[in-house]
Amino acid sequence: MKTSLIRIFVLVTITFGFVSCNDFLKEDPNGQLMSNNAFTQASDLDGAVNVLYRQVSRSTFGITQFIQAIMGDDLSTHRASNKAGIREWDLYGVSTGNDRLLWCWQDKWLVIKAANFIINGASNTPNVTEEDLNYALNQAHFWRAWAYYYLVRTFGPLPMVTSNEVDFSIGLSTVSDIFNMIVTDLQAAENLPANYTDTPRSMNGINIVANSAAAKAMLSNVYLTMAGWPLNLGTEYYEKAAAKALEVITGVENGTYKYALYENYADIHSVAENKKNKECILGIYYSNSWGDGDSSESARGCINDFPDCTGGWCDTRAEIGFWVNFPEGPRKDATYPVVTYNSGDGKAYPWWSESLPDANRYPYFGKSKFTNDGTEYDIYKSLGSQCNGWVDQTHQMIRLSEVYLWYAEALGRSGQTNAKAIELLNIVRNRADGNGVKSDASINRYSLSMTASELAEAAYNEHGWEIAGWLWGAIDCRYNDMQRMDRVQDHFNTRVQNPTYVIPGAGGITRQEPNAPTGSWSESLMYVPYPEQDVNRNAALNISLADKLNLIK
Amino acid sequence: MEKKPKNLMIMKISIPFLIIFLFSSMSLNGAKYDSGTRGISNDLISQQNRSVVCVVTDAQGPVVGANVMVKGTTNGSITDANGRVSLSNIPSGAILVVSFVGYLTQEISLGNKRSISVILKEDTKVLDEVVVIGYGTVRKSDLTGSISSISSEKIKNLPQGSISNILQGKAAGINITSTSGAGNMNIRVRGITSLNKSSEPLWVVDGVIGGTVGNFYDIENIEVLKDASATSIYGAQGANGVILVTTKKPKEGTKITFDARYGVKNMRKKPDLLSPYEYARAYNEVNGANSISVDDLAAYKNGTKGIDWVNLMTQTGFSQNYNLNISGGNQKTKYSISGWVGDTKGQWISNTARDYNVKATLDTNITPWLEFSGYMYDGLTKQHNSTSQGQFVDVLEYSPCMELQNESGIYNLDPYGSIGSNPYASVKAEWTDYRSSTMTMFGNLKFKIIDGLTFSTEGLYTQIHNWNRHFRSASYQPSGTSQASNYEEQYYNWRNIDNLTYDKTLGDHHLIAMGVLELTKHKFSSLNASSTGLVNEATTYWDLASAGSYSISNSFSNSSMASVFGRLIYSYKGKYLFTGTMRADAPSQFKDKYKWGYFPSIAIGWNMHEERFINKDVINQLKLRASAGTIGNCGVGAYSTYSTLSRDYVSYGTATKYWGYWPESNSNPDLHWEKTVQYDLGFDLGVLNNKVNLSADFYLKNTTDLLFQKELPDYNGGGTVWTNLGKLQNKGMEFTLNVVPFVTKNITWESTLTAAYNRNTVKDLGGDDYIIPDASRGGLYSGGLFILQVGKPVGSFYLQRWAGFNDEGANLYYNQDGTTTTGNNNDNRVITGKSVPDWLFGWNNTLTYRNWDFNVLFRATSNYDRLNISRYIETCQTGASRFISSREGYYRSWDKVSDKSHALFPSLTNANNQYVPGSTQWLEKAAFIRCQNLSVGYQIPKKLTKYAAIHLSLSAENLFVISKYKGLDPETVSEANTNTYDTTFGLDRGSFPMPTTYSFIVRLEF
Repeated sequence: MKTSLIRIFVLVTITFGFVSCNDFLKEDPNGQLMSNNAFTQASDLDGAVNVLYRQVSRSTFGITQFIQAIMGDDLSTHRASNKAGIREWDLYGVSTGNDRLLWCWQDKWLVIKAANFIINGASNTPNVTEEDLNYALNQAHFWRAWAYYYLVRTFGPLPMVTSNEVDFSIGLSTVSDIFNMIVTDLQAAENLPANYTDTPRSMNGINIVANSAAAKAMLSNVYLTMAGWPLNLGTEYYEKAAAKALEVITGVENGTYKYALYENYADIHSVAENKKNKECILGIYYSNSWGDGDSSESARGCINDFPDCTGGWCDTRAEIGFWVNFPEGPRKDATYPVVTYNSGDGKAYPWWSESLPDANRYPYFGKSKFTNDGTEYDIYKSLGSQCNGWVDQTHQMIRLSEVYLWYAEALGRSGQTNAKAIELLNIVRNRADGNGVKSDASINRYSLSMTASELAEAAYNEHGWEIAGWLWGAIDCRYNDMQRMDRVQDHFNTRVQNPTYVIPGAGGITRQEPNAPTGSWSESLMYVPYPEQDVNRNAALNISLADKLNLIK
Repeated sequence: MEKKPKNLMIMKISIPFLIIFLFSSMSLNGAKYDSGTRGISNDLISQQNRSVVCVVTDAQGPVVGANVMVKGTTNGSITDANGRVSLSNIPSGAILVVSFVGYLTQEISLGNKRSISVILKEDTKVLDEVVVIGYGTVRKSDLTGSISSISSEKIKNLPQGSISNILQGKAAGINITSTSGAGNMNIRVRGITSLNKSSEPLWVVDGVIGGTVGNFYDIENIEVLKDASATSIYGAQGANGVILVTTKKPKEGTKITFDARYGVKNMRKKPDLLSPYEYARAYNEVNGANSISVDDLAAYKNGTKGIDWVNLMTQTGFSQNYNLNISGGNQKTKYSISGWVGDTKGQWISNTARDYNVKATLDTNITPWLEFSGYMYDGLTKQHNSTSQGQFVDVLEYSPCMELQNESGIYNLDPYGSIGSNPYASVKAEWTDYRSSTMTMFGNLKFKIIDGLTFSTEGLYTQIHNWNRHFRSASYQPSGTSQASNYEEQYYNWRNIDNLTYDKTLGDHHLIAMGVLELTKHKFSSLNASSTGLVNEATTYWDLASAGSYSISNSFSNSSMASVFGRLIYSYKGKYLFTGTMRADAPSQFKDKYKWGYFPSIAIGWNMHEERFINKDVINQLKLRASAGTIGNCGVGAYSTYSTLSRDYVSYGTATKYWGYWPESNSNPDLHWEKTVQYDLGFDLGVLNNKVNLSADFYLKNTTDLLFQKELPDYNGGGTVWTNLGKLQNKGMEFTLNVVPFVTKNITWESTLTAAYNRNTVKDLGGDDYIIPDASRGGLYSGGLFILQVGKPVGSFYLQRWAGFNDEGANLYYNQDGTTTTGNNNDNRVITGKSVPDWLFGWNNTLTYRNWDFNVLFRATSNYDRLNISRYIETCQTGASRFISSREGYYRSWDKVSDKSHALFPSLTNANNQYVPGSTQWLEKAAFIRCQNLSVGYQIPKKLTKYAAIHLSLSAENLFVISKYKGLDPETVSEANTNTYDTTFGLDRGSFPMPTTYSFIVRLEF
């Protein structure tokens, strides 16, 4: 017995006892790609650009990412409901506890991270052509500039992040330094091709990704902003802005760029033209085809804008003053729905009607009118019966008509006028009035004899009307125009006074804005605070709004 | 190419063993064995006194080997196979002392009797009972560690269905929070020791980590290892305490037990929500008269329209469980087979569950020097739908003024209140079927090499297969799209333990020395396929390819650990006790230089009552214990130290996914152990014939190098990285007082009071003064609700201070300087309140009267808070709720109360009002006293029924709660974020309350 027992003991010990620990404890990460696998094959370049576009689409899909647009004189929000956080923006008092503040900060930094990944690593890719490499790098430069441009106007001074090394103590760069970086990035992006041919870069006859025209157009707008508040670089930069806009306009005229204005303003945001929009120089394209359960590739739409009595959330609402001053015509009708549907009784009324709930007796924007089944939205029906809150409406960031107006305004502010600028201004306005895309002395509203400042102001106003209420990713919303012209305070003071408006065509009905800011204006209100969590992580961000103003130049 | 681990060999050996012996046990059952006739002392020298025959039995029958002595003499002997002993030379008036290990010693006055029968009673509190400790057992008198123990006697008549339930309120130092009415538990032994990694204790079943308890009825006892001396044998996995579950071992002689249990569950307290008419009126008052039409208003008033969401979505839950246990065998081979069937209808409508499991156990002596024990377990759970807290939030805030479906049968969204999904659609137009099957095989071979030296090798193999199938109809909501998915995952775990133990008594010295090698491997793989836009919904989730688009994903991970460890237990004269343990662990997750972790501990004990200077008649037991040791935590996932790329896609507006990789996640190659050093000082005191027993422990736990998921700056892309950071301390004391106030022939009352105090303090945060663990919360909770601050406990709330209302009825909040503002400003937050109680109490009483038994158990906690977000969303117009839903939210709002000082909530029409969920307005004291259990049972003896002993009992759980907390339950919480769990614990946002359960139990013992 003893012998067999010892034998078994030895056997068992050998069998179970001696396992090579090194092999046994080695991790075998099947299915994982290690970071040193990055940019090791040619397709990684396209892959990284895809991820970059993913970050862009996620950072533009809803209103929260562009909530600063609410501070413009075109937009406001519901007086009650769940809109306390949005009202803080509307009333120029964004607190550190604001529920929207974080997202509009975070998402843009993810774009920058995805861009920096390409900028710092793409050149390691083996066996790729110079052309493919530059395409990836310049896309990255373009979108990094886009993200910084958005952030610097909303938050002011920023950490200048150009690598993906985590840095808990990076300091704040001046607004001026950030703008210079944006310009450098966009100058690189100007080397992007003018047109693409392969899917997915080009589909339905249009460019889907950013091209050189988008870079030039954005650079023009960046110069326009640098010329105004807060850098106030003046004439030189207005001239640069005009010149850059003109490059795009000339490119369109000579056929380098295949853009054109729609005859009817209403077509711009139509369902039919959604994915082949010829006026859109830079768009972000969404897909609703994965259904409501997978909204990852779709965007928010009318549910944000439409009043709650229609079935929307009424996150945004139009300001009465802007509505009153908005020139009548097809552009106005396409911007503001002519009726408000009331689920309470199933009927539709003009917005000022007493038959609507008191809280909804305000104009609202209807540029997003997409249903889920691809048909045109019917404003005489409830929202819930037509869509679920997710749409595939393209978020148009830059349109050709905007470039026309930037050109005209920049030229005017540089103290110059010319026939071309006034012609372009008239084309935009004539189309708005329903007179087609043309400049014709018999119908033109702007005369060739207008002064430079009249030209600038007219273009400024037309741009406001052209993009009114559009906050879905526009690189230059109405608020941005007001900010660079340092006119936010004028609007603030108007809102404090809270004037009473007589509604034209409403039989003498008068209305007031329900929300009014209090206190007095300070320039520091031009920026919003950094979100709490990054202030906690990096003491350099722990500065007051007033101190931000010292970090401009 | 994956190498096949050599240790799989053990499976190849133990499986056939198991099967062979399972069958052979049937024939072995009848085998005869030689019980060995014991010598009977027959002193025939002094003959003038009589002889007496004594028969010793217990509840099972004759007791072999019981010691029968004449008191005050050396005259005595032991009983034979029939429980008989014959003693001669007995003086008249003699007293017989009958004793046997594990039974109460009895003294019987003989009188003039010539024969006597003695029925021995089991001693449940004998000092020499054996206690299961990790990887072995020890006599309770030699135990030096701090262990709470609960035996099956204490639990067999309780109705609860889970092991965690059993422990609730019965073991000092273990805090079990019922986090949801659906049965989820949060278990902490001696406080929170880890910030971001689970502080859940380690579960060990029959000595095997990851072993399987067949079912509730199979439990023999449960032990909770608390101090370092007890837990350090589990090294890298023991830092959060260890719960050892021992299942019933098969015993000799055939025994059949059958249990049937029926339970009914109801909500103890319902939310007080606005009726449809009240809601409609309130809505029109706030949003304008035409918001809800006059016609509808009338319909809501007369009840022809309107929805009571709570009634619609909940129902009386019902459950029935049956268990059959058959065991038998002889001295050489024993077996048991236990089967269980459970059927549950949940409180959430459409929720059903079925459970089946079976476990077969075999213990056999193959040769005199080789023992085999093993079991096979197979379990299956099926579940249809379940309650998620998100859905309960929707129930609480969905408008009662709406139609469930439109004219096309599509489920409507809430037009006025919630922006969430229709809760009814989530069970009617959508369903999830879940199935989980577990197979476990375990085998242990024990070689007795020489006297006292044993070698055992054991293998455990567990395979878990879960699948989850989901279908959603397009009618789920307006403009909805149909969806279906099928998810499957598999876990393969195996473990091999080789244990060499030397257990020897030499004179006054008793020694147990042990050396162990343990190897563990886990593998996981999953596969998911989902599709949207089904061609025809009739196929539900069974034809995924017949759809507009699909997506697939799969994943894999593996991890392993090698451990070497030893333990020395030594006692001298049963008075002076020593235990020393050393364990070394190497998990695959850590890089080479951090791979091995070493976990030593020592403990000493002194059985003072064995000393001469203690009068053992007064102080029956007095033991002093002291221990110190180090335990670890390596709970990070596989590949945590690798820098990996994440994939992501974009569609460019098409139906195609264009993929790519980017460095979304962050890694830390220097990640290593979290270490806890624990000191424990304790004593066990027994007086008044052990009718009063008091155990007390005082401990200090210092945890360093905390595994912490550090949030990175958003300007670097955010996200988190695992780091070792900071220090945490837990200090506390535990008392268990067991009293038997009276025992008479018919009545026994036993009462156990447990009390435990724990104070948790953050000692260091890697240089930071504070960290907001949930800073990345978005939306209304932006900036976070909790704080980790040096000097404060984990789970401290960080909130703005609510200051009532201003003259327009807007919420006011205190600024830091004491002035007030209507603004929502995170700069104004202060540390206030905490989510973990100071004291936990449990008071358990058992009263038996003849054939009746009664049990009542109370649980209580002191000084902790909950953030009542449920109340917030019911009374606010913000975030996902656009309108109020509760009655108090309307009737106690600023607008409605005439005396404004009675307002609880702000004006609903003030546009400047700010609602702040992270404010003290929602922080409530949650201390409670809960009647956890009240039960009554009646035993019908076997001699009456002839065929079986029948025990009937009726019980009520969670009968009442005394608490100032205004929510549905002071204990349950929402959010089970595994990464920030303890640091952000304490929100009640639609947490499903603990139900009141009534149960009826029948147990038959044949």
